[in-house]
Amino acid sequence: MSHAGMNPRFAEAKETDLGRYEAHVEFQMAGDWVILLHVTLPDGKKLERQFDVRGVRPN
Amino acid sequence: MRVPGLGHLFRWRYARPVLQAPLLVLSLVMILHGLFGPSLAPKNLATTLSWLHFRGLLVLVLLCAGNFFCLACPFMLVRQWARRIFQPRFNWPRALRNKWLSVGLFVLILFTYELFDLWSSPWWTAWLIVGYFLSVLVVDGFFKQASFCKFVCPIGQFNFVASTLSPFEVKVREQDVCTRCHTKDCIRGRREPVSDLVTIRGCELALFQPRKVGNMDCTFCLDCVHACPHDNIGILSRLPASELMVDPLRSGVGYFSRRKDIAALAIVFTLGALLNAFGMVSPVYAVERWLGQRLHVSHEAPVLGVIFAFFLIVEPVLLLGVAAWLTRAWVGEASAKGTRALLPLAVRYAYGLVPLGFGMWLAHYCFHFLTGLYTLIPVTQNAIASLGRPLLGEPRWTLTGLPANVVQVIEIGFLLLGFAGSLVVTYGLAEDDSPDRPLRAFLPWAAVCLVLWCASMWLMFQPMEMRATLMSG
Repeated sequence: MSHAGMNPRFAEAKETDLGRYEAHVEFQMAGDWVILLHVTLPDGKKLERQFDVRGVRPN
Repeated sequence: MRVPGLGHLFRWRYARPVLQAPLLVLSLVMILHGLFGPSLAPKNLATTLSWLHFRGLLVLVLLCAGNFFCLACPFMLVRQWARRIFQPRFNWPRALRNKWLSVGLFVLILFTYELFDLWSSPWWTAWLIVGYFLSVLVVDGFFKQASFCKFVCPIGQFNFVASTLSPFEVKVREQDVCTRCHTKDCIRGRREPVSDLVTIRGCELALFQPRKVGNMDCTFCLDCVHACPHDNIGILSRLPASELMVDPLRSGVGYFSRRKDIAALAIVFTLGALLNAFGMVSPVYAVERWLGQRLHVSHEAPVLGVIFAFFLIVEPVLLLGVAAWLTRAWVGEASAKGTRALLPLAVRYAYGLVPLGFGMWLAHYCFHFLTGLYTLIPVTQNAIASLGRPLLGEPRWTLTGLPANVVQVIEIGFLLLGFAGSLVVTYGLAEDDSPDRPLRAFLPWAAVCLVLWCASMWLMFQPMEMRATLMSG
């Protein structure tokens, strides 16, 4: 979440198709979340990407 | 002060700078990391240390000890250094020698916290800290004594009110020693016999120790302890909240019952606690949306303004006004202290709300502190690693804190403690106000406490929802 100290959720993405990876993450709280992608490429290089998921609402 | 080790430390003239220095270093680290570190709040020391650890530790130390955070205030260390270069020349303006300015600033801090979502912004958090340092330098650069602490600092006012519930107080050991003292160093400072130059300053908050009652306006700076030539001042234990039930003439403060500004501070302290928590639960967004539609505005500021006005003006006027009216109706218009007018009644009983407010602050701040207790470790690891080498290892982002269901039990405990404290204080006030019919005087105010406690409990069980988004549509 965007507030310090809130419990992070972790998930490992699995390849479901060529070049396609999927992970399931449960947001246990409503509000704004931030997804941090940590990717390790075949040559060992590491990538980080961040994108926001705002306004998560309960079902 | 008689405790071995601790006593020596606090009696040492340089105890305060030694405690302030690490916090100053920490403040600088927070400013730098806030401005140049990760923009994501959970990964930044500025937001983690401020909104989790500082707030949580602050309320716990106030509960268990006293106003030791003001003792270790890093802003005052910088101010002290600055005063070696230039001395302030002016006295704080007489018209501002009250709490109204600081009440306004306290509300402003709460408002900007919600409006700019400070909790999610390392950059804004860093600038808040910088702004605080600059404010201290400007105010105490121009005005003598501890004008910033006594009349301006919002954190200080929070600490003053909360420390009325602390178990320790800076006070004289034996009044007889003070009666025999002619130099009054505790307030005038220790002076050279011939030149009258001050070698150890006395209290800069105008608290004359023999007549000081309670912790209001006391920063625990220990200047009085160091100045007293008789070693007659210490940090002594007392019954928490007892000072709220009595109304003697307090040195440097006056009578609580005549200080509408301090009563207003107590009300903002209490209702601000509920307001601050309300800003983090799901219903607030529904309220904001509804208000936005009613007011035909899409920006959050006017909507927040209405919410703040309701919580901090309308609500207390209604609750305290009705309670004061009922007290007068049930007990009579005459009291042991004179005629019961509505406003003085509301002022007097406002202090009874403080334990409730403190319970809510404890519940809220300890939630964030305890559930995010260990996050300081990966954030620090990450900060060190970003300098080039992971000297503390790779960040362990799985470290968080105590489980929320465990913390919730602690929160309920704090709310119950606050409610019980408010009932006890309010009954004490009622006994003092109406010795013949204390129960009749007590009941309306107990009802106010019950309403606020129920609101606190309701808030605590609401689903949390933290959004760093502006209203739209």
